[in-house]
Parts: sequence; C-alpha cells; structure tokens
Amino acid sequence: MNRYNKILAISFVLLIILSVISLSLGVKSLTLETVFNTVINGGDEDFIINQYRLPRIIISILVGIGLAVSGVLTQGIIRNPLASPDLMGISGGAGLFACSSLLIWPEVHSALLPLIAILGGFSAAFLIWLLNHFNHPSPARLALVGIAVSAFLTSCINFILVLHPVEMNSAMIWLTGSLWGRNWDYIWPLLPWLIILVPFSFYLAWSLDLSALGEETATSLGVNTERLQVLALSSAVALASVSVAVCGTIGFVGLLAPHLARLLVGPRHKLILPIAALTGALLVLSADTLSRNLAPPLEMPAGVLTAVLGAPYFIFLLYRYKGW
Amino acid sequence: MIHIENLTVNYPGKKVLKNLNLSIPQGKITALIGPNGCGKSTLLKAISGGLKVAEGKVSIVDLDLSTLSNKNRAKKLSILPQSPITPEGVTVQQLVSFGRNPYLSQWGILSADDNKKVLKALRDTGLIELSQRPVNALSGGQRQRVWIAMILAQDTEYILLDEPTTYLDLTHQVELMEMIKTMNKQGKTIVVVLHDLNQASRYSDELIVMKAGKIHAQDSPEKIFNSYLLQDVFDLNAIIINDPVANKPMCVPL
Repeated sequence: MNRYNKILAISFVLLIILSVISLSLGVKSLTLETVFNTVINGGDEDFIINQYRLPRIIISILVGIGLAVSGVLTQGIIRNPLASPDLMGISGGAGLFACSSLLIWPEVHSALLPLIAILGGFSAAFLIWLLNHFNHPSPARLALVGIAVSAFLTSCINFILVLHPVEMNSAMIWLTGSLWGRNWDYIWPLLPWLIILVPFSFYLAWSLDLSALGEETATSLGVNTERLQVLALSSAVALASVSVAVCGTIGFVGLLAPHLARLLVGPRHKLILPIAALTGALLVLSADTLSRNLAPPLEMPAGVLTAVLGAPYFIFLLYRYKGW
Repeated sequence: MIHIENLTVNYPGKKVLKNLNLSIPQGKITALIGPNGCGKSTLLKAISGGLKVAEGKVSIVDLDLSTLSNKNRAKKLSILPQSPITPEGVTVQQLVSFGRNPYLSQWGILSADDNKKVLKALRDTGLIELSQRPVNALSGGQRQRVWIAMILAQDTEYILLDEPTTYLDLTHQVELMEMIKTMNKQGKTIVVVLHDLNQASRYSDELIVMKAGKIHAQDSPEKIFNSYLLQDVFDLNAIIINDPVANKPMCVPL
C-alpha cells in the first residue's frame, strides 16, 4: 500500500471509530454492544441512537465534507492561504439570509432554507467581488475585505436579532454553529447538493492543478480560466451555504481541512479532495461530540470548538505567510 | 509565419502598443529587444492570447488566433512567462506533464503516448534523474530547464519565451540558449524576448527592435545591429566588433 492509500485508510478508520464513540457517548452513555444492537435491531435505545445521535453524526460528516471541499475549491482558485468560505464572508452572507428568513417566516420549509442560504452566499461573494474589482487584490487586502464583509454581515444579523428579541436565543445558538436538535429531516435538504457538487469538484481537480501555475500560464496551457473560476467558486459558495443552512456557521473548517490535506498529500487536487473531505468530517464530528459531552446536559456550539482550534492556526498562517 | 495586423493594447490609462504591424518568419529564432517598458513582453503576451487586445489581429498563416478555443490555441503556440509561479510541492514530472493539457480531456488522464512525450521532454532537457524531485528544491538553472521541458511536452510549432535567461548565471544562460537553438533546429519557430543585446545578436536569425510601443527596426542582426541603432533606441554609446566565435555583430559600450 502506498503512502497516500495509507493516509486515506487511516483517516477513514478514524472517522468510523469516532462515529462509534460519538454514538455511545452522551448524557446517557451506552456500551458498544448496545450501540451495535440498536443500530441493527432497534430496541429500547432506538430513539437516542437512531433518531437522535445517528442523524446528528451523519449531518456532522456531511457538513464537514461540504465545508472542506468548499475550502479546497476556494483556495485552489484564489491561491491565497487565507482564502476560505467563512473568512471571506460567504458563510456570513448565507447565515444572514437563512437567519432572517427563519425570523421573518419561522415555518419556512427546510428544503427551501439551503436555497435561501445559497442566495445569501452568492450575494456576499458578489459584494466581495465588487469591493475587489476596482483594485487588484493582494492576499492581505483580499483577507481584509473578507473580514470587513464578515463583520458587516454579522452586524446585520445582530440588528435583525435585536428587532426580534423573543426568537433571539435559538438564533444565537444556530449562528455560532450548532448541531443541536438536528434529526433526519435536516439530512435530505443537504444531501442532493453534496451528491452533485462533491463529484463535480473532482471533475475540476486537474484544471485546479494547472490553475496553481497562475492565470497566465494556465491560460497558455489551454485552460479556460474564466470558466474554471466561475464553476469552482460557484460550487464553493453553494457547498458552504448549504452547510450553513443546516447548522449555522461552523468556522475555520474550510480553512483548516484543505491546509492539512495539502500538508499530508501534496499539491494534486485529485488527492487533496478526499483527504480534505475526511479531515473536515473528522473536525466537525469531533467538535460536535465534544460539545455534547463536555458539560452534559448543557451543550456548547460546535462552532466555538472549531474556532478554538482554527483561530490559533489562522494566526500561525498570518505569521508564517510572508507574501504580502 | 505569425502575422500581426494593426495591434493595439491598452493598460488602464495608457496605450502600450500602438497599431503594430509585423510578421515573424517561419522556422527561425526571432529576438525581441528594446529598452525597459517598450512593450516587448506585452507584445509576446498579446501574441499568446494571455492579454486582452483592444484592436487588431494576430494570425498564424491565415488562421485568426482569436477564433480558436484556448485548447486549440495551446496546440499551436506555447509561452514561457518571465517569472512563472511554481506551486509548492509539485514534482518535475508533474509540472512537465501539465504541458500535455491541450491534448487531454477535463479529467487530465495521460495516455501512453502522452507519457512518452513527457519522458522525451525530460530526456531532451537532461532532467530524467530529477523527475521525482519537487521543482522548488531545484536551482534556478534546473528550474528553467523544467519550464522548457513543459513547453517541449506541449509540442507546439511556435514557442514564445519571455526573458528566459534573466535570472541565470552565465553558464546556465549559454546552456539555455543552446537548448533553444536545438529546439529551433528541430523545426520550432522561436520568438524570444532578451535583455542581453549581444545574446540577442548572437543567437537570433531575425531581430525586432522596439521603442515606446512601436517597431523601430526589423531585420537580421548583421544588417541592423549597429552603433546608430544602439544610440537611437537605447541611448547607448557603443562600438560594434565582430564576435569571433559566432561571427555576429557584438557591442562594446564606451
């Protein structure tokens, strides 16, 4: 087995082990035997395992994959170590639209929410594009514009929350990224997007390898760079937005997972994508498992935990990256 | 034959190239020279399609290049930019295989024939032993050879090079220019921007001298490389002597 397959196998096994642990741990901890029996045959613990913990684990994995693949696509095009859907305000835009639609129209159908979030994500992307259109963005400027856009969108969200103080509590939890109360109903709106967009990102992988040579060289090698940018960034915005629609903004996964994958397996996107997806899934699932078990029965939003990991890494990147 | 008709290129607020007309001969090495900022690199980029052209037409024989898709253009014409970006961790062989992109599908899977061409390019540039090394770990001269190998793998009739010798020491400059000469002997038409005037005179069959976005002179070095030209275009006082090795005109600044 070569090195790459080993890394792939190890990440996959880790994810399985973590899923099993996550199934057994909680306010009521269960033995592994009960867990296996319940998953296969149902029984007394059917509700806790199959209706509560299992869907939540699957959603964590799906959201982790979505955020990580979105990050790979964003970094592949923008060639900026700080580029990621959350730092650039995409998640903020998706969050703002989803959050306002929830407050204005609480009984909104759950299949519509991803669409509304995608609309928000694209609006934020358009805003960033507009702000960068008039001056050629350096990596630092792009990151600053992203942070400014994020801050602006967060203040919009806060404004809306102040107008609706009664609904504020649940919205607050959701905004910091939480999988609290997420059951099977939340999987179906998310799944079709991932089934289409994740394979599509593999379709773009080779062109993304070439795009790392810079726009000029990629064009001279026959890549239609404009088309590639539109396809990859639209997919990235859509993937980040649907993830936000399901569990709010779980920050830094879209930044960390692609970096870790690149560090482990090198520059080929075909190889980066699976590892990043698994790393993303591991990150979100560990964050959610911890959030359920740190101080039961209270829950901490998973987004807070990914930020604890992600923020120092972000500072490390700022420190290491000399290409301003 | 590359034909350029009435070519105008603008950068924001500035006309870089003004209504250029020129033809670049088939099967020869053509060197582009001129003072900094005269538009040499811009002309090269405009030919390669890497730049928006405000007006005018670039064609190969009768084929208008703007009518081709990126991939089809990349089968005719390759370019080595002045300072290409090397992605972190890319190996020599991977980078050279990128040269096959115009012949591949979107999935980028190389056929046996593609792999053969990549290997040949690696062999021709003496990179076989280094093929699994990351490009960033190589010396400047080796790295430039990797980019040349990528262009060889692209296998185009026309090859454009933007100051390929600028960051190299003299030994590697000579090595690279000899490699370019070999490519030319194998039938490639070469257009190369050069900074070093004597290098341009020595290695080119045709010289194109640019000044302030216009063609100042174009002919063989023997005919136009003289002290008047150097005075006019570069504001340089120099005498011309005969290069005893290449038997070409050579300048010595006063």
